Formats: sequence, C-alpha cells, structure tokens
Amino acid sequence: MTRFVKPRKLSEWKQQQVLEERFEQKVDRLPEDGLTEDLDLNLKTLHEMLGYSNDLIIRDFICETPRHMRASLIFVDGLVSTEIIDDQIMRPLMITPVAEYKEHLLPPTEAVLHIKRSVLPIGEAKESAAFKDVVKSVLSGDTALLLEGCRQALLLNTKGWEKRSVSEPTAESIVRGPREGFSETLRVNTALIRRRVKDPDLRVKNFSVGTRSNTDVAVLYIEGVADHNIVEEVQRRIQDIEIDGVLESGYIEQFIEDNHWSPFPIIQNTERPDKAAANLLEGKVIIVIDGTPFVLIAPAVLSQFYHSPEDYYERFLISTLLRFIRALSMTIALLLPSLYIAFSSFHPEMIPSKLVIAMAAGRATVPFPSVVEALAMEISIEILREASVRLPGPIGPTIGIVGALIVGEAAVSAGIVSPIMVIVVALTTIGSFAAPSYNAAIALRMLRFPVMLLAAAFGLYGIMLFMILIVVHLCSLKSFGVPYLSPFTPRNLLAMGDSVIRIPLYWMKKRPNVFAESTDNVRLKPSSAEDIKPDDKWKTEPQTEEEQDQ
Amino acid sequence: MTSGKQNPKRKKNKTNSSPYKMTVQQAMSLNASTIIGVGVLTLPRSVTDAGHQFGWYSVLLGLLYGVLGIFVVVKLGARFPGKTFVEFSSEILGSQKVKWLGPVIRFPLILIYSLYWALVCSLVARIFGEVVVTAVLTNTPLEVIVGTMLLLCLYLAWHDVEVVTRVNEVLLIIIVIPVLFISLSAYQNAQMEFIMPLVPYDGYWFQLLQGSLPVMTSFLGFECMLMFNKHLQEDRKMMRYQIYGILVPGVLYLLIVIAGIMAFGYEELSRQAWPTLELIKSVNVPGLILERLEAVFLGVWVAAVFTTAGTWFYCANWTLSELIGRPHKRRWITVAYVLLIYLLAMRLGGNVQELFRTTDYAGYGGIVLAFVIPGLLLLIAMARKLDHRGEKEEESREAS
Repeated sequence: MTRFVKPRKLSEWKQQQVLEERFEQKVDRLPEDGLTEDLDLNLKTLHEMLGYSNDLIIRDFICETPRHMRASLIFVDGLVSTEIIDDQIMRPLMITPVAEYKEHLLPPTEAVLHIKRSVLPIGEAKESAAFKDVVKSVLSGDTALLLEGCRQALLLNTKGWEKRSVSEPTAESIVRGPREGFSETLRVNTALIRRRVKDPDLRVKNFSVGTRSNTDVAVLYIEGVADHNIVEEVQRRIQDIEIDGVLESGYIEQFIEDNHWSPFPIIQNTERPDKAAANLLEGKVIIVIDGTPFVLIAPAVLSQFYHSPEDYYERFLISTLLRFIRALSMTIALLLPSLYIAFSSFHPEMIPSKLVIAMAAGRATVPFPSVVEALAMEISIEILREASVRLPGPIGPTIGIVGALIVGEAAVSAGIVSPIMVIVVALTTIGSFAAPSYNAAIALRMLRFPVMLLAAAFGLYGIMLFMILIVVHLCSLKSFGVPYLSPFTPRNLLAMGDSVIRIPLYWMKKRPNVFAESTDNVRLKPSSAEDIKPDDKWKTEPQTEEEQDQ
Repeated sequence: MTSGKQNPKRKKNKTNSSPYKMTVQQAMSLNASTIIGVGVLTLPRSVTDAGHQFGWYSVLLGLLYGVLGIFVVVKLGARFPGKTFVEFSSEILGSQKVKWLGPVIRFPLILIYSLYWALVCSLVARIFGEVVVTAVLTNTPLEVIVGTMLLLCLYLAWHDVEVVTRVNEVLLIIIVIPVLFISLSAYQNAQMEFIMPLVPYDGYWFQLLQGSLPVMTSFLGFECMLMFNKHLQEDRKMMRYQIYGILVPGVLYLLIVIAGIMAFGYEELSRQAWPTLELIKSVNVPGLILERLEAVFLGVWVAAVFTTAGTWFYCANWTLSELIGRPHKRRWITVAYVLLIYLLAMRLGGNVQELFRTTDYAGYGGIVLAFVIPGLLLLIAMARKLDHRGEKEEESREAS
C-alpha cells in the first residue's frame, strides 16, 4: 500500500485548516469579478491584499494609446525586468498615436483587448478579472496593467529576476559528456530538456504546489513511451501534496516516495540535462521544481544508482568494466569493515597463514577488540567527511589530508589502530565515493554500521543475516509500481543488458517495458545496425579517392 | 488555492487491480531454492549408507520421483487456477449439494499440512543451528542461531507473496553459483577407484531403491506449489519450468554426492555426520586468497536455509490463517506461530542422532503429504471431472 500524505496530528491539522481559511478569506474576500471600474479602488484593494509591502511598485501614468485615460502598472521590484517594462510596455502606451489611429473612441472595456492585440509588443499577455489571479501573477514576476474604467487587468510576462546562468554541474561530474547543468529556474530547466528531446510527444504539465510558496512544478514525460499509469500516479501524488512551502525537490520527493522508512532512495535526482533526457527516452517521468537545479526521476530502480551517463558515451567494453568496478566499490563500501571484523575475530582460520601472522603483528599493540577499532575509525572518518563539506573551499582538501594521513599515521604509530584497519577504512571511504549518486552512497554508509555490529556478534553468519534482511527489504520495495530490484527480479532479459553490464548500443533494439508502454518499443530501426559494415567501407572508400585523384 | 481542493477525493490506489501472477522463472526459482536446504549436508551419507559406491544412482532415482511429484502437483493445481490448496481441497473433497461437507473434511487435512510445514521449518532451523554451532560459531548458544533464523522467517512472512517469490529468485542465484563453484572444485581430490565399478551388480538394486527414500525427502519443498498455485500463470511453459526447478537441486546433489564418493570413498563418507562440510574442508582455493572455504560455504548456505525455512513457514502460516479465515498478514498470529516453531525446534531431539531420526520420520511423513495425497486428490479430481482451466478466459470473453 502506498502512503504519501504524511499523517498529521489533529491539532496540527486544525491549525493548518485555520491558516488556510485565513488565506482563502484574504484572497476570496472580494467577489469573483473582483476588479471594479474604479481604478483607485482597485489599487487600494491590491495594496491591502499585499499589506502595503514596500517592494510592490505601482506606477501611475496617463495612457495615450488607444485613448487618453489613466492607467497603472503593478509589479514587484526585483522580479521583473525594468527594460521590458520601459521599452515594451510604457513606451508604446504613452506615445501619442499617429493620425492613422481611428479608434480614439473605443470604450474602455475593449481597450484592453486592443492593447493586447495591437499595442504591446510582448510575448505573453492575458487578461483577467479576478484579484486572486492578479496577485498570484504579480507575485510570480508578471506585471499587471490596470486601466481606468475597465473591469479587466492585463497580465504581462515581464519575468526577469537575477538568475544563475547555466553552468557545469558540480555534484555529478563526468569526464566525457555535456558540461551543461540545470539551474534554479524552472523554464530554463525545461528548455534544457526540450533542446535535447525535440519530440512533439514530449509533454510538460505544470502544477503549483505549496499553499504559501506556490512553487511551480513541472512534470515531463514522453507520451506513448512513458507508462500512462505511472504518469497518472505521479501527477496524482503531486496534486495530493498540501504543504505550506516547497523549497527544494527533496520536499516533493519525500511526499511522493513509496516508502518513507527505507534507507534506499526510491526516486532518483540529477542535475544533468542529458541524464534527464536519457531517462525520458527510457519511459520515465521527470519532475522539475522551480528553485532548485536538482530534478527528480521517477520511478527509480536499484541498478540505476551505479549507472552514470558516461556509460553510454564510452564504448561498451569500457562502460561494462566501469560498472563492474562501481558495483564492486559499493560492495566494499558496505561490507569491507564488517568482513574484516568477522574474519579477524571469528574466522581467523580462513585467512592465509602468512597474512594472519602479519595481521596479528599489526594488532599486537592495539588494546581494543577489532569491532571497537573499526567503529572508532569509521566514525572519525565520517566526522572528517562531514567537516570537509562544511569547511570553506580552500581549507577543505587540507583538512582532508591532515585528517586522513596525519591522524591515521599518528594513530598507527601510537598503537591505537592497526595498519590494516587504516587500509580498510581508506578503501571503504574511497569505495563509497565511487558511487555515482550521492543518496545511494549515503544509504550504504548508513547501513555499514549495523552490519559491523552484527559481524561483531555473529561473524560471517551475522553478515549473511543482514544481507538477507536487505534482500527481503529490497524485494518488498516498489517505486511507482515498478519492483525496485527489476530487471533482476522479476527477470527481464531485455533490460538485463543494461544493468550490471552494458551491451553495445546497436544491440538495444527494443525498449524494455519495465517503465515504458509496450506499444511502441522500437529504439533502433532494424536496418541501421546492419547498414554500417566495415568491409563495405574498405572497398568503396579507396575507389572514390582514386577517382578523385584521376 | 491548494490543488487538492480543486480535485477533491480522487480514487486512491488504482494500481494493484489484478492479482499478482508470478513469472515462470520465478516459479522455477521458488521451487529450486525451497528444495535446496539442509538436505545437501547429509545427503552423501544417507545415500552411501545403503547404496555404497552406487549411491549416486539413488540420487538419479530420487530425482525421477521428484519430477513425478512436481508433475502431479502442477497437474492438480492447473485444474484450479487462481486457487490455493486450502480452497481447492474442499472442492475436491466436498460436494456441491452439501455445502458444509467440504470445509469440514478438509479441516484436519489442511491442519496436518500446516503443522507439517511448521515441523519441517523447525527441523531445518534446528539442524542449521546445530551445524553452525559445531562448525563455525562454537561459543554461540544454539538458541540464538535458531532464534535469529526464525526472526528472519517472521520478517519474510509479514510480506506479500510477490516479495517471497522475488526473494527466492534473487537468492537462488546467490546460492547456486557459489555452491556450483565449490562442488566443482571439490573434484580436485577425486580418485576414480572410489567410484568404480560404475554399473551396480545384483544385490545392489534393492539397496539403491532403499537409498532413494532419503533422497526423496531431500527433494521435499516442491509441495509448497500447492499453496502458491494461486499465483501461478496459466502458461504452457509452466510445467517445463517447474521441472527445471527440480532439476537444479538434482544436478547440484548429484555433483556433490559424486564428488564426495570420489574424494573419500563410501566407507568413510557414510560414517561422517556432515559429509558435505568435510568435503568442502578438503578443498584448496587457487591463489590462496582464503585458506579454508567452509565458512564461506556456510555463509552461502544461510541463504539456502533461509529460502527453505522461510518459504515453509510462509506456507504454514498462510494455510493456517486461510483455514481460520484470517488474512495471512495478521501479525500476532504469525508471531505466535513462530514462537511455537521455536519451541518445537528446541524441544525436538536431544542430540544430533535423535534429531536425525526425527528428521527421517518427518521426511517419511512429507513423502505421504507431498507425493501420495496430491496423487490421490488428482485421481479424485479426475474422476469427478473437476476442471476450471480456461474458465476465466471464457468469462472475460463473454463479458467483452
């Protein structure tokens, strides 16, 4: 069963109810056709609704086109581009029309339409009669044009706040691939995706989430490729969120995920547009949230978390090898310290005799059992890692070196930890960094500690107990109806080609129906792989060269 | 303002409309990993006890019985698609006129099945505990090992059937590949003279038949398909894959038994308590990464035991709760049942010898429940011409 609306306490619910009512009252205090013909009254109402905030700017002026009348522009300072307002709104409105204009006597009600149709050279404009809409669009960066004697306001898109330009993604860096990353603006992000998938079937659906923050959320999918059940489910869950504010994609993620208690991430996030586009083509749904460069990818399965977009850009043998290495390093990150504990304290007979002598010599001066030693080292490395994230840029690496090398070296020579333990901890830490996605690596870092305790209690048997527990848990997870362990179980041979291994792109002729609709599953036209035969090229190309020479 | 208010009260949970159906590969894995369990450790002893160096013929014979058994079970289940054993047994045994007859007759039968599954689950947990305590964790109390294993079973029993099948599918790979590797590398000590002559002569035929009886007990586990029948697809490939599910443990058993006979000779082999474990101790790992393998084998074997005990407990719990008409995820009933199994496991048999004897008796009971009763039920169903194959398709066709 899926639960995505967090259960709330009755008191909280009531409180929220009161808040919502107050907000609704504020907004709904006026009748639906709220705007009156009296401009001053309209302005006063708007002022009151926004509580005389200082960043709200009301510019009164005399409009000359299409007729002489009073008008007002309302916008929020900082959210709009003043150039657009100056050049494209004020200028055409204030210039006295040339003699050809015959419509001086247009009634004010039709003036709005006329202005929209033939005066303002601005891309997006719509008229509205409700205060609610006016306030909402002004707050999201539009400019409202109010005219004397007119019951309608014109809402003009003048969004132009300071924004970060498209830059290289910092959290997911790769060697080969595009350097563009998402930025904080929703439209920029959807455009980045559109530029990669110029498919008329690409759908962008907007939602507004957050009763107070009114954050824009866009759901992107390719019609006919994405499973429509999943698309509907994603939209339904997003619409069911009733929270006051959404500040990052993590808010949405935590409300729409299937299992709140799992350590494993059930929804993937990325700041790479190429990754998002590739996932769209696989039939997944992308959720873009305004104000964050991290977009969500749903549904997600476990094997995705050790995939990197680079795998598809490099040749298949290399990417397969890299995936093996990543899977191995994630296993090391999870299990190496506990294996060390299990072997050294329960099954020393399994270690080759020469090694066991070396290990015993290293441990001879260590006063603690291996589990205490391992826990202490692992915890201190976690502290180091957390500290180096917070430290200001230039100091970070220095502290890393100080912590890892000097403290480790000193601890060994002081006889507190054994040298092998230092190797184990170093490998574990590096292994967890090899995982391409941060949230999956965190899950492994977290699970490492209970395994260590179980290994200390039951040796290899404890590790196996924990692994079985994790397997059962993973098998029970589902992401939007897709089993988390697919394609391994239920087995899907078509999708297995792109799991631990990565088969050549020209073998991926069909789209596996794990996430996608099975109706149109052709990825590669059957002819295109056979067209390119190296033999033919060898035969034809030299001939043409010879012809050219002649 | 809130979008939820614009779209009030939508239907929740549109998904999950059709009942879960497992794939044929999942059915195979479920079968195979349920069968591979504690039998693997003692099998070489029990077959060479009776059949001497020809013991591996008994494994072949047992495999034949196993295939026959799964054939009967699948044929029986296929007549009642989408129904569990509890549901269709009352239909076979009861009458359509007297409604109460079926449930009343099936009650003791199902109860016996449930208790049998509980018993074998407890025996598996106990034997597992004994092996772990003697071989690797010598200082850990038996109670803790048995208890933790049963806790894992309990955790599995709280989930749906689809989770059980997926767990089996994943763990089968984790079990089969290392066991295959280890049993193949056990051939490094093989000596041909131990297994010669290859063809049994006069007096041995009867002994081989005798030896095939314990082999039959180590193929038990496929009878769980009686319950999982509810989630089986109506697929022509189903029978083939179910038989593969018997063949996987069959081939593993055969490899291990032959390796055991060739490494130790039957006389030595038939006197060991855990012959497979001794076999693995004799294996050398190339490259000297690990000095000895038995801890690794036991680690893998935890998974094998878990898939056996877990599935059996799942079936025991499922039958019981279906019998008393409660949903099988009722947590407190499950907890109580686990406690019962724990007590059974700790009470049965004082020492290992007595435990082996109890296991033998339980195995013979299992043969009756897994081979004889499904066969009888199939005969009755055939005689009464009870067959629901293809009914749903017809219904849906009529509806459309």
